[in-house]
Amino acid sequence: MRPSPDDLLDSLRLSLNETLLPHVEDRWARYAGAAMDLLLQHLKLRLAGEGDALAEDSADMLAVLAAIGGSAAALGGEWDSLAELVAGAAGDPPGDATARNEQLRGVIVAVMRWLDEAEGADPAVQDLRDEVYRLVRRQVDRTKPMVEPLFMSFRPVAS
Amino acid sequence: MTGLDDGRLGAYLRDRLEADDLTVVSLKRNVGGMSRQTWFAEVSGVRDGAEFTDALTIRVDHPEGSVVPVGLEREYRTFAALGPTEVPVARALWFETDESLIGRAPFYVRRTVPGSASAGKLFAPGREETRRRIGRHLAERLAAVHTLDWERAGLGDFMAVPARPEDCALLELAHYERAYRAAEPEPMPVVEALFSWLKRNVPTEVSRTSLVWGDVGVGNFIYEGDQVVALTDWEQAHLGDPMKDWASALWRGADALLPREEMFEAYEKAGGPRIDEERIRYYSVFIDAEYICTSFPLVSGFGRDGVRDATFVRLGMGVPYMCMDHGLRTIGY
Repeated sequence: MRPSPDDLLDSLRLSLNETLLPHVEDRWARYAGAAMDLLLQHLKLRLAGEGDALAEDSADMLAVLAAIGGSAAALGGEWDSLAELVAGAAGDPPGDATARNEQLRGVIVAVMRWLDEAEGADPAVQDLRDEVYRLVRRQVDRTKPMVEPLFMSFRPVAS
Repeated sequence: MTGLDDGRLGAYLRDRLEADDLTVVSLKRNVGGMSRQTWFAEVSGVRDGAEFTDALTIRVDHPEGSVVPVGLEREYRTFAALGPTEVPVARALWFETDESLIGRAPFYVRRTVPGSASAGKLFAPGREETRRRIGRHLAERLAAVHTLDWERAGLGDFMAVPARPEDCALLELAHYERAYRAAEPEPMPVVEALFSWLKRNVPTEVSRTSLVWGDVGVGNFIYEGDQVVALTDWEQAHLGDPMKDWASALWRGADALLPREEMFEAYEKAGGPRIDEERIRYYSVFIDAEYICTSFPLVSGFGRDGVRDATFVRLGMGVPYMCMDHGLRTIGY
């Protein structure tokens, strides 16, 4: 169907910025209008990039979890419970990509908590935590281009 | 109702200020601070046959609730406790819980301090020297906050008192983490990473337990000329490590007023505790986590019965994702 969602978002932004906002005098209403414009910019980036980002992110988490599971199984002993926790991520994935991604993020969070509770037990804790934190950095970098228009600097600027 | 009705407010203020007649000359909502709604009311009237004018600030939670997990009454009590001290704040007048009065409650009223909080005006070209003087004065004001006898001021009556140096951070962290988890957000490994790092790296030595302003930056104080005449935005105040305020000040770019080394020098010269850069770095991450905890729940509650306003959605996404990136970088990832 035409116009595309992208075109429609451009149309909304155009009317908001060139027709509506110049005539709005109330400061709070202008502030709300500016927030709407930023959300439209975010929406445009998200429509274009979220699908690929979710798929890449879920694949990345599965790979890291598989590596952690392998390390935990090799260490044995009390690490077996971590290996079992990670193994649970493989089974019964929901069909929806967003739900699957959230499910995997939940497993990553559980792994992080396991590592925190095991603190001091083994030097391997720090190695695995480092691997998880590097994953987290990649996740943040994946999301950042889509949310960056919404960033809100608190640093002072001249009016 | 999201706004305030100036007719209803006028009738209420007439009774509360014991005026024979009172008119709300102007009623404006503050644009900027988002933790609660702030309304500025200018009134004129007649009392005992004499004309008077007054400028009042009304603080009320958003209809959806407060963005910060801190009760409005605690904020009012902080202002009231600081009133008689050397820390300059607006005079707290009264706290109300009756919704029938102006259609919103609870709310409190304080006297508006003459001056400006505008970053835009302060950072206008040609005001470099004024900014430097204000930066120095802000550092001196911060020293006054951190050397305040908070027990004598009564702040320990309603603020948690850290028993150990670690508690300066951990008590607050537990408070904000509880608020974050109560919103049942989607699983966020990055947030867990920050919480975990903050718990594993908590400072075990603190030079003194101070009143911590909590949200220090341009826009959160009133200036007039080249003087800082009042400190505002006390909703995140607590007892803890004074270095947290420096982390907040630098996080929000106070060093755009005056280079940080010069601010530190002015602070220590004014009697402030010795600066500790390592603890400032720790609290910079803490502030990222704190902002995530206050803003991210806004979008967790998104929907028909929760937050729908675009300004909240922008806040609930823009601030946390920015802080996740910043916090992670600060801890080396």
